[in-house]
Amino acid sequence: MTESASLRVIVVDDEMPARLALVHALSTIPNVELVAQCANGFEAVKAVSETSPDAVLLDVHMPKLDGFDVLELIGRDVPVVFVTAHDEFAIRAFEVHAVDYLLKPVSPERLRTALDRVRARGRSAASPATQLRAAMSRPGDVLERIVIRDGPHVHIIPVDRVDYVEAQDDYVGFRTGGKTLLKEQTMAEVEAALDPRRFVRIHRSYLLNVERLARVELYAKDSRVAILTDGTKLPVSRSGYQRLQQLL
Amino acid sequence: MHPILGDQLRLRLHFTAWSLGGAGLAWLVRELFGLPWTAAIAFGVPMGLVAAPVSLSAWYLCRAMPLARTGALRIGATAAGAALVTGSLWSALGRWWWQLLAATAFDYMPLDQMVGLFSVMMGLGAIGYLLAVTVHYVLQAGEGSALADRRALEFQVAQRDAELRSLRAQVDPHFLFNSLNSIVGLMGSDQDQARVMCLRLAEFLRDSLTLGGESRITLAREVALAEQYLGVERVRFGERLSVCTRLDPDAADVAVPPLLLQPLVENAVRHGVATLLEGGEVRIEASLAGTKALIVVTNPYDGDVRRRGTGLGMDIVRRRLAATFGDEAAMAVEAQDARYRVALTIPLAPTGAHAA
Repeated sequence: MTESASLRVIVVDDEMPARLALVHALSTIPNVELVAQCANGFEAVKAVSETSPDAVLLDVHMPKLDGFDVLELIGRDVPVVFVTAHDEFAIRAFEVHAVDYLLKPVSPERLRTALDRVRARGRSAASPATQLRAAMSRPGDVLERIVIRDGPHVHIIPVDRVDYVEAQDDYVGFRTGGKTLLKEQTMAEVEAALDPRRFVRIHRSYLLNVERLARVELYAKDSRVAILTDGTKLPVSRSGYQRLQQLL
Repeated sequence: MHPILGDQLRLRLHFTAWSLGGAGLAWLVRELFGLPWTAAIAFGVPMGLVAAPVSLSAWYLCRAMPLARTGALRIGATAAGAALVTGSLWSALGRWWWQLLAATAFDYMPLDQMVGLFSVMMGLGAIGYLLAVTVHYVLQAGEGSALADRRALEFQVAQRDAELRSLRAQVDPHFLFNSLNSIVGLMGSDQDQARVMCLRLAEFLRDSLTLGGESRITLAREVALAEQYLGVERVRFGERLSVCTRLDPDAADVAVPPLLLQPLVENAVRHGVATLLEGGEVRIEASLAGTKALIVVTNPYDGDVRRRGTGLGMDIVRRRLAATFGDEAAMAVEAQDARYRVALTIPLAPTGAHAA
């Protein structure tokens, strides 16, 4: 992208005056086009999939889907600049991960610098949301819900409704309520975020919610299979069986 | 400070005890040698009185060898040595006094029959000295614990002061930055709203700074302050935030620490209404219930998300209540059906002991 091309930007904030502030600041910067204003995370995900913007100015504290949820859902597609009021905790995380962030109230000059950075770096400006979230979370915090993007729609699944997680090439599949929802993530990331007392890596490709486990059967030497309460059978590796035994 | 010399009453008791000891000695010599009372008392009581100041020196031994830091053997040996020396000196003094009395006043007190008496006196003197050592150790221990008690008390008072100071309610800085951001946003499109916001913010800040320095304000003032705060937040959140306050006129004059409700209303907005797409209502109700005032703050919240980060504010309110009203105040928190309810019960008249 060249300097002269106009940068298409989405503004996301649940507070109307805060959106106005950003919109006004954007209006002072040349070669910027405001393509959407969103009042929550759902609207943001929808707008990103519909308009494919060049940058998202994203508020952190929002209802239902916060800025991190949104980043997790769209971060791989589009550079995100966080906008937040005074939060040392967040600032530290952003510094560590070199994602740009702005403090409210945002001056047009500072906003311009951030957008210049987006232009210069292109899509590599955002670091993986999961890393950011890990840096933000306190020790002992575990993931309580999973947000999955399905085109313009967002699914929020409480983790206790997940039966198991399955590795599928570049994706992981969350099995819940008889269907599988795919998310672009690695098994290691999912395993690290979930409560280790509830989810066990029973196999290289399977992470099991132990509450769904009915029994484990031996079907060949050193080969076991986990039978779930709904009858589903999943392979259990030797080390997976050890982990399972440790937990139970 | 000498535990006996430094205390008139103890000093008097000390001398009385030793004169009684002297009387005992008089009784002993009368029984043993059949002396008349006058002679026996003339000998015994001065001997007792002279031992009184001497025995006070036991303090220096106690001070040089504190019980806690000295071995029993060393204390025993030193005390026994000192007792023997003191007993011998006392006995020698007794011999000289006897001679003097025999030579001047009582010619029926021949020395040669009395040799056994001075050995007994040496023993008695030693025992008396050991007793004095024991008494001084006991007093020293008492002194030490009294000092420890006083220090502990002073420490508690200082700690409570510091706690009250640190708990002095403060306005969340995020609130300021968010409010300024709203003003910046409204400036371009809605100057009237921007002006309203500026004025409300200024009023709230002025009142919270002024009243924050008081030790008590009326509940009516406190509720009004919370309303001012919520008034600013209503500009920021627009229709998502509505506010309802109900103050029973009877409860209007109840005295509360200023900004007691601030953490509660901040939480009600930040962790309550702000977590909902459609927002909701923050409700503040204050009324009298018997001899207590009941203040209830309720708000809806997103039941799907576990509340986090509310602990600090709640803890501050709880500790301020405890520091101000002792156990006469209570705080009850309820989260049910996506409604969060915090109820404070506080006594109508703060007790003097806890007045801050």
